[in-house]
Amino acid sequence: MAKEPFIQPRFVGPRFDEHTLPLSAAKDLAAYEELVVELAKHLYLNEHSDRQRVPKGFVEGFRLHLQRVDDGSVKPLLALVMAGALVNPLPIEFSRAKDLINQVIATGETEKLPVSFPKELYSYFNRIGRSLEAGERLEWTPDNPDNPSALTPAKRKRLALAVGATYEAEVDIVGQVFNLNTEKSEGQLRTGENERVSFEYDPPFLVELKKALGNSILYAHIGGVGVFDVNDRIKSIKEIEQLEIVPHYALTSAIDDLNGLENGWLEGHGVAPDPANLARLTEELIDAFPQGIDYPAVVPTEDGNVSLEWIKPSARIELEVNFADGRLELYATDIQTDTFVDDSFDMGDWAGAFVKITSLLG
Amino acid sequence: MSKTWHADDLVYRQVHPKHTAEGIPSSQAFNPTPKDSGQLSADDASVVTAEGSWDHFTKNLGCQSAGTWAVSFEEIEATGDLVLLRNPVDDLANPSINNPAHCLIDFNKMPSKGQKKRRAQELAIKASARGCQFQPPA
Repeated sequence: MAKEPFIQPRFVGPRFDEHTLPLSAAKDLAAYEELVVELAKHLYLNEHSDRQRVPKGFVEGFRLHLQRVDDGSVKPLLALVMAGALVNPLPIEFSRAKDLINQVIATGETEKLPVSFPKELYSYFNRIGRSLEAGERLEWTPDNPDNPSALTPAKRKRLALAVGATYEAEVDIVGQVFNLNTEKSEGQLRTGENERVSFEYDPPFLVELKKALGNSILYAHIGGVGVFDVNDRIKSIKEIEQLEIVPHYALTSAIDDLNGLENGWLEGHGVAPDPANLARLTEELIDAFPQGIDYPAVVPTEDGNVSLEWIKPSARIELEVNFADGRLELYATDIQTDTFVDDSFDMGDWAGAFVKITSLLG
Repeated sequence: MSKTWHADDLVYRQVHPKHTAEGIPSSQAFNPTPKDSGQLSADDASVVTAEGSWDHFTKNLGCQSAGTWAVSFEEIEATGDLVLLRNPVDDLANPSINNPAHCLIDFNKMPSKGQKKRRAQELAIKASARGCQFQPPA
C-alpha cells in the first residue's frame, strides 16, 4: 500500500485544545474527499471537451485516509492511499481541485467567488465544516503565513448559500410531536416558540417518536441536521442523529438552568442550589407533576431553595421547596378575593400539594 | 429630605434576571431575604428615573437587574404593616455608591414568613400590573 500526503488541515478552537478530533469532525473530512473527486472530474471534463466520461480508474485511484492526527491544535493528515505502488501518477486534476477549493474558501466576503468552481458543488459546504461551532475554524492551508483559507461557521454558511436559499447546520431543538407520517418517515414538531418544524426520521427513531406523538407531557429533544434560511431561521430537520424523549421539558430544563448559579449570585449573597437537590427535584416532579395545569416559573431563593410560582394577573401561588427542612411550603395570594393561603406539606407529599394548587388555580 | 409621601408616589425596585419569568417579576423579587434584614431596597422615583435607578444598581453597585419595576406609596401603606422609609446612602469613603434616592420597604412589623410572603406577593402583583418601567436593551 503506497501513500503520500495530500493535505493537512488544522482544526482550531477550544474543543481541539486537547489535541483530539471529535468524530463529528471526521464527517467534514469525508465530505471534503467527495468534493475533491467531483471537482477533479469536472475539471478533467472541462479540459477534455471531446470526452463524455473520465478515464477508467480516474476516481478509483483517489482514496483519502486519515493517516495520523498531529498536535497544534489538531492537524489530521489526509494521505492519498493507492493499492500497490504509485505506478500511475495521480491525475493533475486532483491537486488542481485541492487548490481551487482552497481558493474558494479563501475568498473574502466582498470578493467574487472563482468562476471556475461549478455552482452545483457549493452544496458540499453544507457538510464540510458542519461540525464547527462558534469560535472555531478549519484552516486548510495552516502553513501559509497569511493563512487565508480558513473555514469558519459564517464563511461556510456564505458558501452554502452561494447558490441556494437555505443552508444546513447542526441543530439542537426541543418540541412536541404533533404529526407523524410513517409512510414517508416524516413528522412535525411544535417548538416552545410555537413554530412548526417538519422533520425526516430513520426507522430506529419511530418507536420513541410514536410515544411522544400528541402527548402534552413528553417532549422530543432532537439533535441532527437542520435546514436554515439566510436569517438562520430553521425551516426543517433533514436528519435526526440523536433523539431523547423528555417529560415536562419546560419544567425540568428550567430546574436544570439553576445548576449554572454560583454562590453569591444574588448581589454578592445567594446560595447556589445543591445539584443533588435539583436532580432529586427533577426526578420527583417528573413523577408527580399533574397533567392539565400550567408549568410554573422556577425561581431560586437566596438560601438555596427553589420556588415554583404560578403567576396570574391578580394572584400568585408559590410552592417553596425547602430542602433543608424537608417541607413544601405553599403561599398563595389573591388580591381580587383578598384571600391568602399558608400551608405546608412533607417533602414527599407532592400529591397533597398539587391537589391544593390545582384547586387554587381553579 | 423629609418631604411627605403622596399616595401616587412611586418607588423603583430592581429585579434580578433569575427572579423574572417571561418578563414578569416573581414574588421573590419583593420578598425580603436574610441579606436585607427584613428591609427591601427601593429608589424614590421623584429623585431618580427608572433608567437612572437601573444604571446605579448595575454600574455603580455592580449587581444584575432585568429591569426596573415600581410600586406606589399607597400600595405599600394599604397593607397596614409595611412601612416606606427614606434611607439615602451617603458614604464619604465610597462616593460611587451614594444614592440620595434610596428607600427601604420595611417588612419587620410582620413576624412570620407567611405574612411576609403575602405582602411580597401583593407587591409583585401590583408591580407586574403597572409594567416594567425601564428595560435595558437586549
